[in-house]
Amino acid sequence: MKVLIVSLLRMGDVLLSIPMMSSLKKEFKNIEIHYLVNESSEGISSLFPEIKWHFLPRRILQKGLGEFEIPFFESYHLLNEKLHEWNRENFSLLINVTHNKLSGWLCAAIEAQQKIGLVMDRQSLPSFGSPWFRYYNEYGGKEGSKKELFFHCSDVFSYGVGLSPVPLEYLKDTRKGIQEAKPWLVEEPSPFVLIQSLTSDNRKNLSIGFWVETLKMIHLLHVHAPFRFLLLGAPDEKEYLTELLRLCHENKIPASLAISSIPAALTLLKRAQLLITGDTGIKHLASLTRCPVLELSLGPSDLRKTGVYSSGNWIIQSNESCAPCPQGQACPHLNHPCEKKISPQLVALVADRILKKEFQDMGFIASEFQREATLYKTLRTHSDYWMAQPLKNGGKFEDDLCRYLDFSVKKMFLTQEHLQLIGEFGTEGNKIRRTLNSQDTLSVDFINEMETHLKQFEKEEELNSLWLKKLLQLSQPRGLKKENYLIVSKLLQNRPIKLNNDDQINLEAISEFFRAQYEKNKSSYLRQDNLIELSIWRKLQKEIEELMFKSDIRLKLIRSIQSQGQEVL
Amino acid sequence: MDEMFSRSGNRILSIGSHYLCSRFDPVKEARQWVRAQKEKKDSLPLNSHYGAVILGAGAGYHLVEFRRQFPRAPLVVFESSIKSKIFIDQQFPIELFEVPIFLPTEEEKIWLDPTFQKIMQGRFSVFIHEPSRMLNPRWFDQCLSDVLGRSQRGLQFQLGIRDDFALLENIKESVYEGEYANWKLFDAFTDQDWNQLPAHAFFLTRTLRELIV
Repeated sequence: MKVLIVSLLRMGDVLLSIPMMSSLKKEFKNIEIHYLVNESSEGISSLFPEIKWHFLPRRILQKGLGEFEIPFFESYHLLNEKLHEWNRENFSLLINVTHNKLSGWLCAAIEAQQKIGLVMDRQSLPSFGSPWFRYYNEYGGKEGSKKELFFHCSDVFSYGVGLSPVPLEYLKDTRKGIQEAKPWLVEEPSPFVLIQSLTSDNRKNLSIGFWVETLKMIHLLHVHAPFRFLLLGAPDEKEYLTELLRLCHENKIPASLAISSIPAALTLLKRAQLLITGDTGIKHLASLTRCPVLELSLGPSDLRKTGVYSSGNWIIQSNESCAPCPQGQACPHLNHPCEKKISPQLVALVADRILKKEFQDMGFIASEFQREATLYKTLRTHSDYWMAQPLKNGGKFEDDLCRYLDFSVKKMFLTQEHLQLIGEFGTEGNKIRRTLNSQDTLSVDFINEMETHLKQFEKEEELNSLWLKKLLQLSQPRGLKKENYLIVSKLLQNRPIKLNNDDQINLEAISEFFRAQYEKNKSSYLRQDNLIELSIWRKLQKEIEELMFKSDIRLKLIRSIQSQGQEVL
Repeated sequence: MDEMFSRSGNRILSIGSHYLCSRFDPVKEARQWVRAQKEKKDSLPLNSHYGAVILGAGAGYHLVEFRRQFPRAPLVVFESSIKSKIFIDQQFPIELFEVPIFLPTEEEKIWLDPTFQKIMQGRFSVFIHEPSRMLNPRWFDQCLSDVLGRSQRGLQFQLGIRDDFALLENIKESVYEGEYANWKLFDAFTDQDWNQLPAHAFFLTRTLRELIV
């Protein structure tokens, strides 16, 4: 079986699909994995010798399209040659994890027996081949998505190909990497912390002053057992890092420069005590090693989708209402406020606890700085998805239970468990219970409180289910008369339960639609011959049906957790 | 145009004090010219399978050297001086036997030439022989735009000889005289235009258009 994975963004995005590749390898023994990536991602190819790499010559293609002295059809011929080369492989499966138009069109031209992920057709309509990839495409860039629950990209990719994520495989050193990293490891053999201070996007960067202050504080907290700092970066970041190094030396911080290739960076990560980084490709590389990571998330960085994927790591997210900001837009604020909210003190304290492996007062640190930033701990739940759990001192158990339920409902809905003859609700309920049970931040009488909440949730969900059925009944376009709008409007105003954020967003859209229809049809009946309106109605009904399915899944899960609780008792 | 001998004993051409090749060793100079073209064209195809268009025949030494290094590459030459062409026919009757050399008076013939059409249908490179170009820069520059498909006439010709793009009338009209054509012209396409492209060409063109910022 030959599989082509298409990842045409940055190196970090390619690394985000590696867990999916591991799932595929585990499921299919005789699988041959190919990757199609941009030439700029070539640096990681030597880390995965078992993969056959193909490169899109993006720069040369772009040059040929616009420069006068190159024949008009040169890029066309070059891409055509590449396509013939790729098509000669006879791929059984193509998986596009990129989700931009470029990849959608290109994947349409590449031949494969089955295609998953965004693929465009002649009518310029997208297809996804999986509800997970459709969800990723629809919700990923949607306005208001910052409030929604969102699965990590790596989980979406694995579930998108119909597989559960498997534990990560750690990467091995390469000969080239060891050779290149030797000077940093041999000449100064003391323990070190890696600092990746620059990202690919200015909005995700912290100031040079911030880094000096942070490193100074970590150094002071470890005067008796000092760590040295390796300032990691690519060759084009040398100028900035040299200045940072100068400032470190001025402040008597033991630091040195590590301008390295990707294989050498991997060698360093495998030996580092900690990596402190923004949202970078190096962070994703670190998740394929045992190196502990402290991620600083700001600007457009969205930790729900692309946070450090391995469990037991830490993320500090700046608490700015506009974050995460939309991709491709400049920060509208003059002073880049989300940068200011991550303080060197917070970062130094968290880094200190990680280095000392003392995690018991992380909740207290999180509470101290909760106005400016939120501290998250990454974990892999028993329900087989990654999440970043916000740390709070004395957090509400109800919120945790609700969050895990919502994630499982969404997961089961996207996996289309509700369409199965016998869905795995019992197993999933058990997994939720196990995840809640293993939370070291919970300090409540677990079983009793859970039973109380579950009873309340069950009652609410039963009401919700009835309410949705009524709503669907009234939303038949042919039967909807003007007086029904009033009934529906009233119905919408009296929702029985508080919904989770993304369902609430959908419901608000439905509600808005009804209001508009009511205004429009105050004096007349709905025109039956208006196809556009009918298609809106169909979409609306589909959305209500979706809510009903989710409500049904939720109810089954609640009952499953309840029944397992009784067994425990 | 005068004929004379170089110091190395080869017959060469000049117009007054303007020499079309080296007065000392035109063969050595031709080798250097081909090497320089190879280095310049690092991102463009230059091997036996791809076509080549050379603008400027000069005294023919660089053409012979090019042919020697790329014997299987389809090759055509544009030259503004008939004397140069006659000189090459006499000097290299065997070496350049199959290489068409087009003059300004043969423009109609150029577009119908099978070798030229074959080159234009695939990947090719254009090489400029500067001493020849200097004798008629305007004509050579026009040839360059046409051959590259960057002028209205050149693009129309290239579209006309391609099966996949032949039906696209709008694209031909959307480039005006004096303007240089680039892939942004596909922005003016209507759904009808796009539908005229066969599936493979459609997806390729759509992909490439996304690469333009």
